[in-house]
Amino acid sequence: MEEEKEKEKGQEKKFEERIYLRESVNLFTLLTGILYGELDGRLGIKDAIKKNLKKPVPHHVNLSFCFGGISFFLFLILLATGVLLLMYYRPTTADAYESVVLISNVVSYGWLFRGLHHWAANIMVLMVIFHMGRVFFYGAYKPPRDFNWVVGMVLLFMTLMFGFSGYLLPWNQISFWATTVVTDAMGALPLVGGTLKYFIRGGPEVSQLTLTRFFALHVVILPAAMFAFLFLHFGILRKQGISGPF
Amino acid sequence: MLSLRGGHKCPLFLCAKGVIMEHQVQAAKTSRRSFLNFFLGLVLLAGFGGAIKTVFQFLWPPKEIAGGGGAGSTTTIPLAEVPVGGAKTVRHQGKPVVVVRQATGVYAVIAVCTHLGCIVSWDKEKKLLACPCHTAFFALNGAVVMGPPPSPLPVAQVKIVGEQIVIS
Repeated sequence: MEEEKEKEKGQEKKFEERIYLRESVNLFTLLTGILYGELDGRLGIKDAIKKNLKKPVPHHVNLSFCFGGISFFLFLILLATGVLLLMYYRPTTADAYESVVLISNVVSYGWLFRGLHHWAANIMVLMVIFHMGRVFFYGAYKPPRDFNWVVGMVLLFMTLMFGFSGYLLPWNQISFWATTVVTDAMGALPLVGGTLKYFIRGGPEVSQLTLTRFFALHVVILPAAMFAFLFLHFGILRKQGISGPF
Repeated sequence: MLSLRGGHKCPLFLCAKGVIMEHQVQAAKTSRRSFLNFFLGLVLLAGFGGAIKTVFQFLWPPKEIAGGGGAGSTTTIPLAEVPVGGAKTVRHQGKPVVVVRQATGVYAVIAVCTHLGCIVSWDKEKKLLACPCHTAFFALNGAVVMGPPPSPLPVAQVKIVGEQIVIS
C-alpha cells in the first residue's frame, strides 16, 4: 500500500515537472507522428508495423513474388481515385461523356485522378496476369494451395469485369462500340448466348440501361465482391504461407 | 536552454531525445535513429498534406459547374432564343431569372416568388408573371398584381446588345 502511494506521489511529481514547452512539443509529436507520439504508446502501432515489415520471408523469394502485392496496391489506388471520379461523373447517356470531359478539362487535378485511374487499371490487369503466371510457372497452385488458386481465378475474372464495365462509362465512340462488340461475342455462345446478351445489355441494344447496370457493377457490386475475395485470398495466404522452396 | 532528461543537452529545439523519448531515459545510441525517424515522419506528413491539398482542390466545385458566378457577373443569351412575346428562364448569379421580350422592350425579373419561394413563369395570355403555388401574379416591373406575396419581385438590369440579351 505504502509503496503504491509513493509511486503515485512520484507520478504526481513527474507531472509537475513537466513544463508547458514540453507539453506543446508532445502535442506536436502526437499530431505529426502517430508512430512516435503518445498514440503509439497506447496502441503499439509502430510495433505492429515493425512486426509485419520485419516478418521473415524465405530465401527463395525473389522480385517476381511482388506482382500480387503490386496488384493489390494498384487496386487501392483505383479505389481512391475511383471514389474521387465518382464525385463528378454522371451515369446517363446524355451527361456521361460531358462529365468525363469536365473532369479532365475543368476540375482541378481532374486530369491527374482520371489519368491515375486509367493507368492503374491498365497496369493492374497486366500485374494480375503476371502474378498468375508466376504462380503457374512456379507450380505454386498445387495442393494445398489449389483452393487459393481458384480464389485467384475469381479475382482475375473480377479484375477483367472491372476493366470491361469501366470501359463503357466515358460513353464515347470507342467505349460504345467495344461494349457492342464484346456483348455481341457473348451472344455467339451456344444456347445461352442470346439470352445472356439481352440480359447484360438490358435490352436489344447498348443503351441507357446498359450504362446504368455497368455503372452499378463497376462502382458497387464488383468492389464489394472484390473485397470479400481479397480477404479470403490473403487469409488463406497467411495461413498457408508462401509456397516453396521449389 | 531546455534541459533534457539524462543530462543530455540538445543543440536543437526539436531534438529527438526531448521530443520522442519523454518516458524512456535510454542510452544515447538510440537517439540518432529516433531523431531521423522523427524527420522522416515530418517528410511523410508533408507529402500526405500535399496529397490532401490536391484532393481538396479536386473536390472544390469549379465555377463552371457551381454556376452563376459571383456578384457582378453578367449572363448573355442569344436574341433569337427569346422571340417577341416569348420568355425564357435562365440562371443568373445563381438565381433563376425570367427574361420576357415584348414589343416595348426586354424585361428581366428574378423569378423567385416573394411569398414562399416558388419559381414564377410568364403567362402569355394574361401578360403577367404567374406563381404556380398560390395563384399570385406580378407585372413586368415586379409589382404584385394579385395574390399573397408581401413585396414586389426584384428586377435585374437587362439590355439588348447587338444579337445578345445581356443581364447584369
